[in-house]
Amino acid sequence: MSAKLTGRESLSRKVGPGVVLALAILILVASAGPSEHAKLVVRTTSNLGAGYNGVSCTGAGWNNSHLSVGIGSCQAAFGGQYEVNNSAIPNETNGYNFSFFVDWVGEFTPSGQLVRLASPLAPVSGRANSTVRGDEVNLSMSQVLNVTNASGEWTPNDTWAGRGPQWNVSNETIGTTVFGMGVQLNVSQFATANSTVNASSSVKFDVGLSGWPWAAQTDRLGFVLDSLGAWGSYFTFNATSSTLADNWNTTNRTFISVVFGGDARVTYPSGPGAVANVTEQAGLFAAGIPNREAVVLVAFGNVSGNYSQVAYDPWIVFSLIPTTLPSHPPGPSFSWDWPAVLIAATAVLLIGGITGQVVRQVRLRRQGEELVRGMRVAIGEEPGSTGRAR
Amino acid sequence: MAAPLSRGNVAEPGPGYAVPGDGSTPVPVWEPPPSVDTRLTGANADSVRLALRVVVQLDRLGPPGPDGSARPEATQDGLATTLGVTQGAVSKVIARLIAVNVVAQERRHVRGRDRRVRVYYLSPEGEGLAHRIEERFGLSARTFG
Repeated sequence: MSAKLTGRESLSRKVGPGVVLALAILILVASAGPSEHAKLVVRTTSNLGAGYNGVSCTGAGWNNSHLSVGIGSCQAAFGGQYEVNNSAIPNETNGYNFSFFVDWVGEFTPSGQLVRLASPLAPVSGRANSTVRGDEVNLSMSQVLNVTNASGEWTPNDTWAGRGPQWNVSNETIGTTVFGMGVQLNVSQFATANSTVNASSSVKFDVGLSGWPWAAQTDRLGFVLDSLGAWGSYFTFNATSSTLADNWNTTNRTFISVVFGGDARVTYPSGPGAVANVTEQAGLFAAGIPNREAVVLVAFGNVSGNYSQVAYDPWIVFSLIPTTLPSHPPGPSFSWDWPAVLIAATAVLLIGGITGQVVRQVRLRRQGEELVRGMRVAIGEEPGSTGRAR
Repeated sequence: MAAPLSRGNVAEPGPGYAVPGDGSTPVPVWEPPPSVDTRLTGANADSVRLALRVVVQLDRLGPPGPDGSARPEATQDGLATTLGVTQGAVSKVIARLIAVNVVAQERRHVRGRDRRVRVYYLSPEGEGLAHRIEERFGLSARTFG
């Protein structure tokens, strides 16, 4: 684990025009409504990602009068802005902004050398979706990426996917992989009546990868998470072994902490899965004062390669102080024990399905008997009416 | 199955005849005469009326052939097109008739479809009911339409 502070670069250079546009849309959407609480106004858009380098991308967004979040498939990013102190958005003093990007995913040798690379900046195709269930907002996106050969070594100073060409990235496509990202948040935890953000405000996001064309079974996969807090927000990264804290915090500024889970689930084509250790390397630097950006390489190791899927679910926690929480902090109601939920759901579906089939058959038989009786009435075999309505 | 209503009994399409899209021998469509409506007084009358038509139509189509193929008119959408009703209405009636063993179903290849689809035909009970309907209304090939 390493933590280094490096130089600064402009926002647009660092995150690309697509994300700048996405953020602009987020800000515009967020500023559209009056400052009201407990009023969820769902406005989704199908083109939040807007495109990058001529590639048309899809996105999805959600906002109410206080919080605006979006996800864009082209940048594999999600970002948002929320209000504190009951002030209007945008407001560089009182409004808070955050964005997270997955710059690239890659395959590493045991010695840490990059051998294969896929960049969400240039997806073959992508789609995004947003759903709202009560106070829970789910944003998701999935994209197909080309995987190419590459060579090089990642260091925390490598700030974003622009580093890619320096890794001798091949033009030849080895294969494709499917990269997915999901964001879940409970919006009620963000819309406080006044003053500060709720201490337990958190966002759960998932990162998943499937169908990676492996170079070697001894390798491991990793991705670079690029986090940017803009317009006066501050954040800290809390890794499993150390904390990267931005001490440039002022009173009542909100920290955005990314809480990395210590493990990820991998699944092999043959069936059984395994738990991979998650390791991070991180760099934290200013991205134009008062912004702060952190670039973290998250890698999944300690298991054999060749896994067909990897699923990882870090958390983002908003608080007034740097926050270090367990890998699965208490938060929105979607923090479930997934295996137990799946087993229970399967049992419920089976029992419900069987019961439903029996009930349906009984109902159909009764209705069929009424039909046959009605036909007999129609041809004079039985007296009476043709039955009741269905 | 009533002999006059067996498949291929009608040579030329005419008024009231449904012409399948695949160009096979058209199948005549029967409408219950107005006299039946006087008996169909319940709220379930529309379903009964459609059930009568479905049973007669399936009797007219016969069971799937021994070669494994079946007529496209014996599918849900085929019946709906032929009878001039929605597929949902046919689906509802077919499901009820299957539940009481009047209609049977199989997956078969039909012309114009890439995959096997469900086709419907009358069970022995259904054929018996069809015979009684046809006798009651004096149906023959010439009376169709």
